[in-house]
Amino acid sequence: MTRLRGWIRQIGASGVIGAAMVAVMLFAAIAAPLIAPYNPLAIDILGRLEPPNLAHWLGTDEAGRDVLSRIIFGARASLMVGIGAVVIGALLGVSGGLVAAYAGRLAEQLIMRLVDGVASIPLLVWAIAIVGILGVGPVQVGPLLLPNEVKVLALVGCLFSPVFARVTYAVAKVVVAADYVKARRLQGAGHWAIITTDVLPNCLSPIIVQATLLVAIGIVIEASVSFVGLGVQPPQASWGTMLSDARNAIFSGEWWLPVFPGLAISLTVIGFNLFGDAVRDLFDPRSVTRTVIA
Amino acid sequence: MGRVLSSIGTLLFVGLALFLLTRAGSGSPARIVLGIDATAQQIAEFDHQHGLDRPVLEQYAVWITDLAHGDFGRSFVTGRDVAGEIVEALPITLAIVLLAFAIAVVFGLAIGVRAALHPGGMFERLTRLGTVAGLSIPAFWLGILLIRFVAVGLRWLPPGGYAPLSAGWGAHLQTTLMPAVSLSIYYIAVLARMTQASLADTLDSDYVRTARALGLARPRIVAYALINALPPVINLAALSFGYMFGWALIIEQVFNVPGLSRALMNAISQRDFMLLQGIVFLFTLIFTAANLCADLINRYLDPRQRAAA
Amino acid sequence: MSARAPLLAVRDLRVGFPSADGRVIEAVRGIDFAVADGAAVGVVGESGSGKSLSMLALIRLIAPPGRITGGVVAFGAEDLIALDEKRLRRIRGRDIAMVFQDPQSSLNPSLSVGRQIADVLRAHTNLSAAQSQLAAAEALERVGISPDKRHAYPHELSGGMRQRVMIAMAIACRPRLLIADEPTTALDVTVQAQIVALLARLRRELGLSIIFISHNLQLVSEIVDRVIVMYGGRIVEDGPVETLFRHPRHPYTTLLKACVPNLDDPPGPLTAIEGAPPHIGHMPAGCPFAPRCPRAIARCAAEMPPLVAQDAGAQDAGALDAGALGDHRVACWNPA
Repeated sequence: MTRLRGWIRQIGASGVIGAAMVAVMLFAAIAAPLIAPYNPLAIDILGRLEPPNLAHWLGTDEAGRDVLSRIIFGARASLMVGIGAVVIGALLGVSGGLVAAYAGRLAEQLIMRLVDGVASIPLLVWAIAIVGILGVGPVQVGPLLLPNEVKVLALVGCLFSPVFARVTYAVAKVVVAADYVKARRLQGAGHWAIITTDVLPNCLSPIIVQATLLVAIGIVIEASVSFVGLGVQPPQASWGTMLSDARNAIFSGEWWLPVFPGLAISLTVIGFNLFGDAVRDLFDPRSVTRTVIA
Repeated sequence: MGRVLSSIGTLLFVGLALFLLTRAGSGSPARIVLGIDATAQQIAEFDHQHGLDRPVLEQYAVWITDLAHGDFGRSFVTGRDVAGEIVEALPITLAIVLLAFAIAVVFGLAIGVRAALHPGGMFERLTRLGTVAGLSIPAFWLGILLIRFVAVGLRWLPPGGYAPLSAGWGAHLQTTLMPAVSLSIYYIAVLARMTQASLADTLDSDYVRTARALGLARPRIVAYALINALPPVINLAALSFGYMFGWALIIEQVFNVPGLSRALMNAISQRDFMLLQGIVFLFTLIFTAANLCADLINRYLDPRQRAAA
Repeated sequence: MSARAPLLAVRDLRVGFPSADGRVIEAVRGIDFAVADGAAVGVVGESGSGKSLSMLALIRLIAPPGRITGGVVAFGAEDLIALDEKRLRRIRGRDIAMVFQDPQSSLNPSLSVGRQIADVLRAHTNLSAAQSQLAAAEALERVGISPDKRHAYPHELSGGMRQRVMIAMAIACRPRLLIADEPTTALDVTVQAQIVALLARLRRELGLSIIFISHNLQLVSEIVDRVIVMYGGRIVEDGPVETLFRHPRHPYTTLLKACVPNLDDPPGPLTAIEGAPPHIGHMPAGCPFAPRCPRAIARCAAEMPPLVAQDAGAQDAGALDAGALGDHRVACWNPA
């Protein structure tokens, strides 16, 4: 318990608030079927376009679906794509960075040039274009039929990998050159042992910082891609598609339709950003130059 | 120089990836143009006519060299010159991005400088809150809200569309202001944060202490700090320009601006892959150029880098 | 003793830092000294003795959260501690100038050295841009750097040249007092001698008074008339350099002297002072040197010894003029 308290003091009030917001959204995403008051796909034409009331706390949309339930389920899509993309990016990037730092000049040159190549790809444009080329249907992977947003997840994940590769490479290079690692090699320690006990732990903090901040970016990318129709497909609920559907409501006055999904995105992203900033201040306060933007 | 060559190399490599992807995804353009009833003979003729039966790498080489001469090819679907379509749409997107960039730089730097000069004050605290919000609120949602409240509610500005400069500055700004503001908010936050952190850092440095010890006036002392604080900010601004172009696509969709996003979306829905290829390559080119600029800025403006050079 | 008023007279100067529990911990605990017009005074002590802080306090350069918690710094007719910011800025650089320890970080890396000197000139005079450039070139020449180096950037110069540039910036407006905070510590030994020689020459040519801070007693004694020895935020001994060297009375001064090996000494182990300097948060109640002092008596740990002049006919050291010229003062219950 005291360890938790110490940790809380270290990340500060904003970090705790951020962590709490993230926790709420994660909970909503995971427990969606249990906590959503209605079926997000349940249509009720008679009850359409109701403003927020006791039965529907956030109102209903143009098909009579409960906005609150759709927002809760929308958290699933956003968090799945955001976190999934970061996981893929981290797996690809960290392994690439480790190999580049550890395996010798040829691997280093090849991998870092590949990283440079991927890093020069404008994320949003390519995500849109490639999903556009592949089409928006579900995708068959072995026995599984995966929804369209998985393409977005995979693409964004690949395009996130350079960040992780560069961070890992930078730290790993320093560690590998350190005297104590050379000493361990002389003592006969195996490569794998050195990587796991010396190199990786040092890379962990910057990786976590980047990961948290990139999830925030991933969530906005999912919402944007869904907004233009290339992400989550209707009738599934995604904050992006809800905003796209709400565009007509701007003119006809149903304010709850554009406001709440956007609020959901903003609050989730704020949570990840606050938490990520707090973690960065904790691990590396002088990283004025290491900004993550998209 | 090496960096420039390396960028060009990367661009060629990425261009190849793009080319292969569109070729792989497009199926047969011959079928699209000639219709499903086309005979094998007609398809073979079509392919030969358009060089589609040559080896892939050769096709790529042809495409790239044409590109270098400004020839983006001809659309298989519409028959129109791709470069022409791009040239029509590009200035519109550019207008919004440039305005957004100007707003982001002016406000971002001003806010960051002010916050750094008055640490612990109300402004700094507001800035900190504001930057978190600015970084987190999606630009396209902001656009939607602006339309709702400013265009529909207050009726101060039109809810969308685009008026080029030829229609006068007033009309032009009326249609570009809201899209540009939505696009810029994130980057105002990014630049304000970096400016504040960088300036606060340099204000603490030994050479500022020397300037203070020798009686230099306050504005001069701030200038001394600012010169050294700006390189990372300028670097970030160059990167931001590159990213802004991507997000402009979404903003254009929100505000119904007939820029490159419309061309891109049309290309996708019509399966017009020459056009799509051209547009995506253009975006990649701009993005790579922005990254290269940022890198060069770092190299030549940062006095420590200069020292190492 | 001459009755001429000293150029600078400091009385009971105190500098403190707020601690975590709200108290103020003093790092400079009431020092009195004076600098005569045209004199050169050395301030010697270990790191943590408060020597740099005291001199930074003279022109109110203490960085927050530290602050000056008491005292008077009389410069001419004015008290620099009480002076308003505007008038203080005019004194800085023009009447009192300062040179810092690390010339690499203390010069703006993005401006040419000529520009930085010219900026000091333009801050205090009405010279035009062109005129100030010329004056900057002159200043460079005066410190022994070729004037065509004025377009160079700091990183293009050697350590010794950078320090000369700092000195040029400091003397550009012909100040009356130059405070040099460990100006040679970051330099090679051969260059150190050059800088010290330069300061001596400038003192002669410009009638400059100098305060030279260092941890190196030997180096300091080559250029100054008086030495002030500080320990634990207080002055423990001061006096004319000859007197201090030949007849040091405070045990700390004696030990400091003994620490510097001499080529003529018989070979043997180096002398070191046992123990470590006190942390400002844990300052002993009495004399700060008592825990390490070979001559400590019971009274030393309990009571702080006052700084007292050693000459029979001299006035009480509390008077401002007394410490200015010639007096040898010691703060010790059991001096040698």
